[in-house]
Amino acid sequence: MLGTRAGRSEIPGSPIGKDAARGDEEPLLRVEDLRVSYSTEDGLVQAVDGISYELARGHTLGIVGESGSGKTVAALSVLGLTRAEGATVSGQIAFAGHGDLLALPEPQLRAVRGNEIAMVFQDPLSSLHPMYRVGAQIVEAIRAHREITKSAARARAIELLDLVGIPEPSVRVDSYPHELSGGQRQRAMIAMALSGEPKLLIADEPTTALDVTVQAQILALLSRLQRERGMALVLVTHDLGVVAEMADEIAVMYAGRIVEHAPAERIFEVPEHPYTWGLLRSIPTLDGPREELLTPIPGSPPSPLALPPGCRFHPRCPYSEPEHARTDPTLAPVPGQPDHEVACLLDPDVRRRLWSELRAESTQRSAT
Amino acid sequence: MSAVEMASIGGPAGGEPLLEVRDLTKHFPVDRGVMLRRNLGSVRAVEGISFEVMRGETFGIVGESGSGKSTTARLIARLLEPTAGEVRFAGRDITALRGRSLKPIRRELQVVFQDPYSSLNPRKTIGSIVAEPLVVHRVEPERAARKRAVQELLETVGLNPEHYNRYPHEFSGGQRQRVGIARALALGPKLLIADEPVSALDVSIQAQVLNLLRDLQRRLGLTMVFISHDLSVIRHMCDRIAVMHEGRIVELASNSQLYSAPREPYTRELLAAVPGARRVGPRTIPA
Repeated sequence: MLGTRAGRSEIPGSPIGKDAARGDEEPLLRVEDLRVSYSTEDGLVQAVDGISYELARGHTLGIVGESGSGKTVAALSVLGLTRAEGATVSGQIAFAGHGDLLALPEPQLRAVRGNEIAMVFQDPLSSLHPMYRVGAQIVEAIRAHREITKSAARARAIELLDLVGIPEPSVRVDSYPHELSGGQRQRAMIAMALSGEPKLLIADEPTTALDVTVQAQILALLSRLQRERGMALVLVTHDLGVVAEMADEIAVMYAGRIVEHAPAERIFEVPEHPYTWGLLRSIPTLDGPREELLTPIPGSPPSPLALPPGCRFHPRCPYSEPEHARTDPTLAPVPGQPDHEVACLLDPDVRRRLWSELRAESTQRSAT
Repeated sequence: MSAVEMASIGGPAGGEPLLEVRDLTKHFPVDRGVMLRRNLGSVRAVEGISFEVMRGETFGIVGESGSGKSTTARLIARLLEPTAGEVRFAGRDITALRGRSLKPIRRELQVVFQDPYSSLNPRKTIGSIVAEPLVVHRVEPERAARKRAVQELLETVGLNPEHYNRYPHEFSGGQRQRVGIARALALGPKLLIADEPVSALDVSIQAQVLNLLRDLQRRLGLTMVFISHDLSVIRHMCDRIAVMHEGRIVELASNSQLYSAPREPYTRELLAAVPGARRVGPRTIPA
């Protein structure tokens, strides 16, 4: 939703809750027609191919996709991290009144990155330097963006470690990464990400390497921090359970495109894209009937070097028609649902009928 | 009532055990120093666990990292030497078997590993990878017959038999895992130990491999020990389940009991931690 008061200035550091974020406000983040491609020995890889989305302040967007879907590249581009790697990037990324991040010169971008936009990666062990104490690394992150004495930064680091729930922060500040457990390392990474005053936190598979009980703690921590600080969150994951728990809205990616984007409840209750149906039907659940057969999506995702023509999902789609191999669907709102977008060539009525049939089929199976 | 349902009710009382594990223990010594090695004690990976796996059932072991579940798999498969305890396979104590005398057991007890990328030799063709057990055990010494056997195996796991001469890198993760399963099936094992067989796979592919394993288990009457950290996958696959924590089995119950009325606080904690469990999937939403 585009506000009328474009370029509205904001109050730095003011906590804006989720409720305040609703309404006709300028979104915190607006990504428009983002394309990222790499030239490789084997040819041009179109990792992200024209994706657009908006994120309101304090909201959580879950980007879901399988490996190679472009979900990580879609998030990294916001930080300008795809620039250096010989990638070709086009499109626009408007963030918090800074104009287009993609057009920003590197020094200015660096002032935004790590400060107003922070990032948490999957593997805290490889993103923390093994030879430096955790505290020293957080101090460095703080001093990268602020004129502040070392001792004040250290005090701030202890405060941050405490905030993310690390016990005895004044002792732990002098620990080396290997002395912390996986969960504590991820907490330390989150502390570092908070060293600025991020308005947006991008978390790329933040809990994938963690055990389920630790994962639950880290997700709870992210929710709490987000609530307290009014931070927006982009959560990149392959795990539908994680987005079900965390996200206000979900973007499903397939082969470099967003194929469906809707409020989280709608993705689980009235999904519109056959790929989303496939994902939902292929995961075992904790409360469905046990004897139920999983319905896998046939085939495998296309190579980014050889994307199929037309709808990229058509070779795996049980409902595809010959026409779908020629026409490339665009992401457009579902009739009557402006906030539910889908890129599918099937008739909306046909889709609705198919989904209710699939749903009836599984309820029937659970009844027997 | 299906055989699977029978088994889930049966438990240790009904049916006949194919695998019996008694007080199985594995401690890994922790040494420090190169010249003067000092023993600093040991990591107690598995601490006196006991269970039985009935013929034709799928027995699940679930736990977090460090719980000892993968060590247990390796102990059963005799890829590790136990510190103490006993593993009986088809009524026979296999704990003391060494070298040559282990060979017949290896035919009957096969492992499918987690990582389809590192468990296949990249320099060998799919055909020779799947054929290897047949060669090692001199099951099918004649070339043409061996090739036919391998192609049949490839077909069984849903791969194109014409891909015989291709290399692992030409296959996706899910297809590689099928190759690993074909190799494990080559000698017609009685027991299949699957250690996190789908953890490295994307969700859409995961379902293909899970369905394949379940189908094979029924078709071939396999007994399976299925190890995973994923409670939903374990629930989908297993008849009875052992929950491991810090090297011990904290709860062992039938599928329905474990998921509907878990007794141990640790099991409850695990179940509660599964994110979005009750929101995912079409059937969870009231119409």
